[in-house]
Amino acid sequence: MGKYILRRLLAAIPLLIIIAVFIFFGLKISGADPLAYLANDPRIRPSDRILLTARLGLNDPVPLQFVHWLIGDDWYERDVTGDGVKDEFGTRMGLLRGDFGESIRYRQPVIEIIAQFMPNTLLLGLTAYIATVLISMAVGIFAALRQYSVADNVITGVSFITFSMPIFFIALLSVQIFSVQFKAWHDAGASWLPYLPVQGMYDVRGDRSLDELIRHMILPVFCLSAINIAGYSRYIRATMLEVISSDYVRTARSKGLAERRITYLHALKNASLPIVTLIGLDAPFVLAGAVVTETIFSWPGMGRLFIQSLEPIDPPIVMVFVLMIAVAVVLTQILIDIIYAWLDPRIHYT
Amino acid sequence: MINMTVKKPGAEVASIKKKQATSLWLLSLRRFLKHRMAVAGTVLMILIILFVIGGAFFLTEDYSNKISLVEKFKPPSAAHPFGTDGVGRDILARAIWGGQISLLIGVISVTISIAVGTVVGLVSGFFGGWIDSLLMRFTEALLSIPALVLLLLFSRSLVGITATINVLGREFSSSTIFIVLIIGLLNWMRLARIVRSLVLTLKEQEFVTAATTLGARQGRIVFQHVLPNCIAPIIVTATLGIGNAIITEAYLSFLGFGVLPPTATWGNILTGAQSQLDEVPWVWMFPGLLIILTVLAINFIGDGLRDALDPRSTK
Repeated sequence: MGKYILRRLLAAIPLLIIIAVFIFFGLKISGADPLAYLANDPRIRPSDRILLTARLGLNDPVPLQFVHWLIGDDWYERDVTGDGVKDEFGTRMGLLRGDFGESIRYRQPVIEIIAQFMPNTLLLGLTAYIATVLISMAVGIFAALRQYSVADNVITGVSFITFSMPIFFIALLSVQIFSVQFKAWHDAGASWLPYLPVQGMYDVRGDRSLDELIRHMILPVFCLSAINIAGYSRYIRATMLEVISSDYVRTARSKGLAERRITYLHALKNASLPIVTLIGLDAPFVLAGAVVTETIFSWPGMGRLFIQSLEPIDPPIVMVFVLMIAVAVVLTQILIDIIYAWLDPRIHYT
Repeated sequence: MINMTVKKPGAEVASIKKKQATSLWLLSLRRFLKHRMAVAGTVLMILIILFVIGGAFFLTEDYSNKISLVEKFKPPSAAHPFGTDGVGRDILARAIWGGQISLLIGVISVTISIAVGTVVGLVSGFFGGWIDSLLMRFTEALLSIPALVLLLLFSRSLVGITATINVLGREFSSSTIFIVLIIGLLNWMRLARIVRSLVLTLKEQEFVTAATTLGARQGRIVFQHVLPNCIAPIIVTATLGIGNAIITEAYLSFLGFGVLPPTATWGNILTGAQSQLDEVPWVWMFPGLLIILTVLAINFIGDGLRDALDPRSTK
């Protein structure tokens, strides 16, 4: 097993290099000006801009810039004054030596900025994710055990419609109902009616209590999980149906085992194999933050950081953001295979 | 009671003959028509197409782009059944003309991604070796990045494109073309994998061996023998892909990285009111509902096609 994991990790390296190259050159081709942030800053003189452009290595050939980004440029002497004489060494250490670069907008190491936004995204994303998995498991199993009943048909219908919704529609609709409309009723006299906040993590002049945080989380978590619950529960229903009709379940039943035991111990374990794949494929994307949801609810997370780093472009943040997700995807896929071997003893890796 | 029916030999022969005359496509069509949701989806889709094409005869494109600041953010009324947006444009008219663009974006970008995905899958699966490794690593690399992140990354370069182009007498924002290309070129990966895995099993089968033995060239084997067997999953992926592309465009536009004005799409109708969305629900409600209905219809049709085109289906 150890050898297998090592081989998978080694195989991931070319993949990550392809991603890095693709994104790096993609950004260059799209003509993004990394100094766009400075354009509106009155303190920056045009001469400073020229100097900064040279210092950041933006005048170097693009492949060389990639090398510098990867392994640093402290060994590379370049001409920053434009007089044709090489006059100073770079200061960056490069990604492979643990230097993730410095954000142009925040003038701070990228790693610090990500450390600042990541917890918020994890809080929102993981809560939504756990809710998704638990609820869709419950709904999926419930529907599978009552195939073609009224309840099953209603669940099918609702999940089909929800699944076809763009997330912003769910978000705007829930804001309209639970925030705008509830507040209107609240103000009109129904003072017992609570309404939900829609902006950020805390109230503007709030006490930053846990209670306040939870109230701010309800709507974004709901929006993040709604579509996934619709998709997952369909999937879980399908795999459960397949397993329930298999021979070994019939054997278990004919041995006189309790129905409950059969469903949750015998059937669910095998039905969860494809579900593990599904979870594994989606889980790392939690890191990306729900770009749309975080934007609508002004949630200070990774998705919003990414959107804000796009225009004007902040390449160091964008590069690290994308690579971080790619690494997470690769690691989760290896993890899934290990879990697979544990769930299904027929699978062996050598 | 035992009920025995004795068939005349002639009748049996006739029924066999009738069965033989049924082509695979006709069988599929029959199965599709039996799928109630699929038929409902088709009807809904036809209604939506009638809405975006027929509506254009009543409301002109100039009217859909007419700005009138006194009329801004008017709720739905007799004059403006869907209300007006932030600069006083009629949302019904924009939903009609924007719908055409949204549907076009869906169809064209899917055509692109189907073409790329099929070719990559065929080449990768059929030739194997280093070509396969290279293409599949690249496919995997693209799949390791969330689709929306990838799309945003490339569509950000559209910001600031204000040029318009003239196609068939209509003015389009040239960002439309870029969005179509970006969505098309970044959505072929799943199909490529499906086609590749199909080709891997197909190329080991006897009919391919037979064709090779008969001296067929590789190109002929790929396109005449292997490709037709991949048609069913390609059609299903394409259908579902259209809905996906329409939603994707809406996401990009919603975040401000999509098709730019004056060209309307269902997605960018609601961008104009980003900051006050909760005060003007009609601005996002109607285009949003149209998107949902379209995607719902497409998903139903795709579901029906999947069942209908499955050769193992006995329905």
